[in-house]
Amino acid sequence: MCKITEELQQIAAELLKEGKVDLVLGYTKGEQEEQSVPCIVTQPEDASKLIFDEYSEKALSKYLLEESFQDKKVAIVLKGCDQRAFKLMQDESRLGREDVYLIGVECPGMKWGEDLSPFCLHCDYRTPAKEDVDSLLTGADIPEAMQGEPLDHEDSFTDINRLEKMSKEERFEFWKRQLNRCKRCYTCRNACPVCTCRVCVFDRENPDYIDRAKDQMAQHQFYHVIRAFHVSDRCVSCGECARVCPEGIPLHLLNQKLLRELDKFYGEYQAGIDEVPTPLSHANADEPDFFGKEGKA
Amino acid sequence: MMQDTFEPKIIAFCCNWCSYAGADLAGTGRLKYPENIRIIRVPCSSRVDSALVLRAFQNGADGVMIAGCHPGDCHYDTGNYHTRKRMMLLKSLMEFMGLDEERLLVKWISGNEADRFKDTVESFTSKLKKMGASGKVRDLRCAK
Ligand code: SF4
Ligand code: SF4
Ligand code: SF4
Repeated sequence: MCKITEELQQIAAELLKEGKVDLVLGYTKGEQEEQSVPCIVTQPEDASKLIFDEYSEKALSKYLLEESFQDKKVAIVLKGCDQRAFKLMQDESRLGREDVYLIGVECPGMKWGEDLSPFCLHCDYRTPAKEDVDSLLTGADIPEAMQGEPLDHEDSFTDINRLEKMSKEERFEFWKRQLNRCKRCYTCRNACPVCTCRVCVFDRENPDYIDRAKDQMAQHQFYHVIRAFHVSDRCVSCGECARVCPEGIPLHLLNQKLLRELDKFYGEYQAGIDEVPTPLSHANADEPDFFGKEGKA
Repeated sequence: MMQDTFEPKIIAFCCNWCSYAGADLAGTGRLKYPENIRIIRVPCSSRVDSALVLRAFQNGADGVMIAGCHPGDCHYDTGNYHTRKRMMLLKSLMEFMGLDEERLLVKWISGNEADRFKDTVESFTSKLKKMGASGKVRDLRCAK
């Protein structure tokens, strides 16, 4: 058993025994070896179910908004990206820090099929900051590729570079092939830890505005562009949206592209780490003007 | 041959405080501008989010124009700063998806710039005429 799992079970058992929390939200082993699933533990003797490994990718923070947890004291296991998502919810006044016990864990980098997640290879925030959590568990077995400096965005998300080099028609064909498979099951939205809206625009009962299934054509395109925008500056780069897609659509490339543009034009920003408000929540005179080159007529 | 008869449809979102007045002035000054344009008055150019632009394309627009006050002149101080930030992103996302980002035009036009309004509509119309009808946003899913 790895060191983090061992300590996690200890802490969970203690917290429950002492009555400091009503439940611990973490991961347990799934049916397959290469699968870890969310798990709720309420009894100290069940704490031994909890684990943390390179398959513990599911972002748990959003569960805290669940109705059934509202009157409970919850302890939750958070990797770096999950803690960023928690921080964002806190900044957006969705929940209070004092209501939750945070167990930060050092992330060894999550699997992405056989490989390591490109998100993790690019990540420089694997472990939550000590002062942001109540307990911090470190000592993960870090694979070689994850040691040393994280990769630049260009070196992690090489598909974006590849697409940028294509002709417009090739790009169109690429996205047609990809998005044609979309079932609009919204699993990507449901898994995303920053898609936390009380009523999502895609669940609104107002088909005149968003047109949902009324016109099958182009609705997937509408969905993907709008969602990419909604998460563009708030994305914590966990990779869940693309990972959960049953059709294997690389939809993360859309909002990673937007992230890259935002960084390029408005300075680098990491949601849930940097203190300033997210880039699209403010705008000012000093920013570049792409539409006024010929000046005031 | 098609090119000669094709009349593009343009949806123009015009800010109430500037471009809409500019269009009005063009009208009262009897400046002739192409009839391809359908104007939708908005309280501020920043009212136009990416969903509205996409909806316009999906409903048959060949071009979408967003006209707002010159930077620094926004009635609400910062509205057009948001517009330019968002629309730059939308254009780059459209480009990334292989869509015709040139069909989305953002322009700053004040209330007394009737000529500028007319010129903008004219040049946008002729550009779209050359490009032909827009189909990509309407039928990406079912496109053969
Ligand atoms: S999870 Fe995949 S198929 Fe489902 S809505 Fe998202 S992109 Fe479409
Ligand atoms: S958009 Fe995707 S990568 Fe970003 S936070 Fe949501 S699920 Fe994670
Ligand atoms: S897609 Fe947009 S509206 Fe829906 S949950 Fe995500 S951020 Fe909210």
